[in-house]
Amino acid sequence: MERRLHNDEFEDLLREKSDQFTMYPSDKVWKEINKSMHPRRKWYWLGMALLLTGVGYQYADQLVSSSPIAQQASTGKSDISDEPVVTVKQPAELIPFTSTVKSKSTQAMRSIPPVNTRNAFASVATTDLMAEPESPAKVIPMNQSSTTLGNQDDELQAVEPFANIESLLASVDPLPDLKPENNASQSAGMDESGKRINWLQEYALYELATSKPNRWSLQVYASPTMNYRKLVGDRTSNLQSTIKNIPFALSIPGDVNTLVNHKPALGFEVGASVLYAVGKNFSLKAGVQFNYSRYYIQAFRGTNEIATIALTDNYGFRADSISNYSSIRNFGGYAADDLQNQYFQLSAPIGAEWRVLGNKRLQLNIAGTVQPTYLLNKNSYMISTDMKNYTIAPSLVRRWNVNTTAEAYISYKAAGLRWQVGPQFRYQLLSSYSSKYPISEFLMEYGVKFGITKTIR
Amino acid sequence: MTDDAIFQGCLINDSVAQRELYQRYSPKMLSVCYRFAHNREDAEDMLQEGFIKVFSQIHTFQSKGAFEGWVRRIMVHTCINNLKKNKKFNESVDIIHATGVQIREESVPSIVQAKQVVECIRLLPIGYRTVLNLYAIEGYSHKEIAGMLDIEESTSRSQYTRAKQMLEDILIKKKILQKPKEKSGWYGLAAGQ
Repeated sequence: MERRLHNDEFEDLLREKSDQFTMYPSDKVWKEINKSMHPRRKWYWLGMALLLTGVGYQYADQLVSSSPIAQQASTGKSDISDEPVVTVKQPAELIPFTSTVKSKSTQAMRSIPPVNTRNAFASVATTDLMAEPESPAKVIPMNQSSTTLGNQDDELQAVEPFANIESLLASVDPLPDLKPENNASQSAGMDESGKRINWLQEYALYELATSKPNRWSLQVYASPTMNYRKLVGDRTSNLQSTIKNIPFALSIPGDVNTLVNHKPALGFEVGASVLYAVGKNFSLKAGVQFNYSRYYIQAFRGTNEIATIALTDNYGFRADSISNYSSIRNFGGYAADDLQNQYFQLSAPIGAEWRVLGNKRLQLNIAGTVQPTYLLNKNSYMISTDMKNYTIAPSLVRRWNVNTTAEAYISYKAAGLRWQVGPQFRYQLLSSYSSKYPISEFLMEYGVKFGITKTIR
Repeated sequence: MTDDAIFQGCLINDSVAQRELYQRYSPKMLSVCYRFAHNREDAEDMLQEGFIKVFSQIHTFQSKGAFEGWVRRIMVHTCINNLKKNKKFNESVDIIHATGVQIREESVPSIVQAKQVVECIRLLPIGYRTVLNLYAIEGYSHKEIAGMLDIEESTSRSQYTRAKQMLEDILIKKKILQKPKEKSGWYGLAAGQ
């Protein structure tokens, strides 16, 4: 009864003193509460406006890129018909292209939409106009409003356009029927053909001058990952001799993987890379990536005990150890206690991608990277040497590491973006812990990676 | 502003009434959170979360008991949930605190006795501290504590016994309490306190 009175008095004292104690919160607490209870709707409207602007821009961009002329330029299909007439009205605009086109004229013109010989001739004439304006023999008289090829067209056979411009020119009698007096009868067709030639000048030829492949791309990606680890306790062979003099550090022989109870856990990674297309099917890439890795440790709560980690050393004769108090037990205890080993990593992946199969739209790719990695933060429990307790020893955790990844993915191009999805595997090459800790831990992740790639230039 | 006006205002999500209620109870409730939390920042986070719950669920309050008691219960449950969610109740904080008592001993301010007592409570390992807070100060039974913390009732009892013993040692060591006299059986406040 006296003890009970003792208890009550003690509790009364605690209650009284606790009630007397007051603290004043900082202003930000109320601001946050008020913000939660009365969210400002204008931010929603601003967000909505930004979203609509983005969608509108994307739609406009698609609209422009899907216009007939743009489609012709991109797909290589031309609606230029078999009109036998060539009209060139604006020679002055073509002259500035001379120096750039001349050296590549034959090769570059292969990319122009295939047409029959008559159209080829029209293009040849135009090309020559740009290439060698000073040569009167190959220049169509520009001062004429229209030019007629006459019946020669029927004798020309359809050939691979622009395959050999010089031979084509040689085989064709240079404008035998150029008769200005025929202009009047052909004037109606001239206008239509003129438009088409203008199209060649304005788009196809313009493309010629700037038709460099887009090599640079920006890729963003994210991946939910399943994380686990591989434990290797080989260093304990060296340890046996060193721990004899360390109290409370009895060594338990056996594979460390069988002496602990760990489970995989979900994590994630996000990142961005810049890709450079070295070839048609091969790209190099480099970027930055954040990884959150973790796995579960099934442990038990117990009374506070001394947990000792015997350290290895490079010389094999110096016995050293780290001891902590720990109430977390590997086995045996009064309550189950699930822990997590968590790692927050920042990496700089450098690697390559290779297109294995597919066309421009749908592709199968494989990729791999090497990732120098810096550990931003961690929550890492380490098993004691006697395998009885988990404890923490931040000094034994390695900050810098190296990871590798391998992945395969399917990508599909739509709306100007390349969308990709596929499995990936990541493996940590060095142990999470320094060489002093006798157990090596190698993190591994496997997951499904989602990514978007945008060609930037 | 009367209590009824504040309550009615909070029922219709009125910002002025909510602010009034907050100003009235936040100092007391922050001290409750502070006893459970790892540090002041965590305590303010718990206070914020607790008040959001209070304002969101105020329509569920039945005027059978004291309003302050209802708010306090929400705060305590918020603290417990937060500790469990952040694993601070289950994890290594025990290790850190148990080994850190000696280190933190010097940092306890001696401004006022109430604050000293609270700071001494906070020196306890978090498991001990939580059970002691719930049982000795908040008045929960061991059965209720067992339910809240997902532990056995006997565990709650044993944790409390150890917590109380450890707290007594700390208070005596800090000369906030005098050692119990053998015959009178109880502590006295240390001179000058």
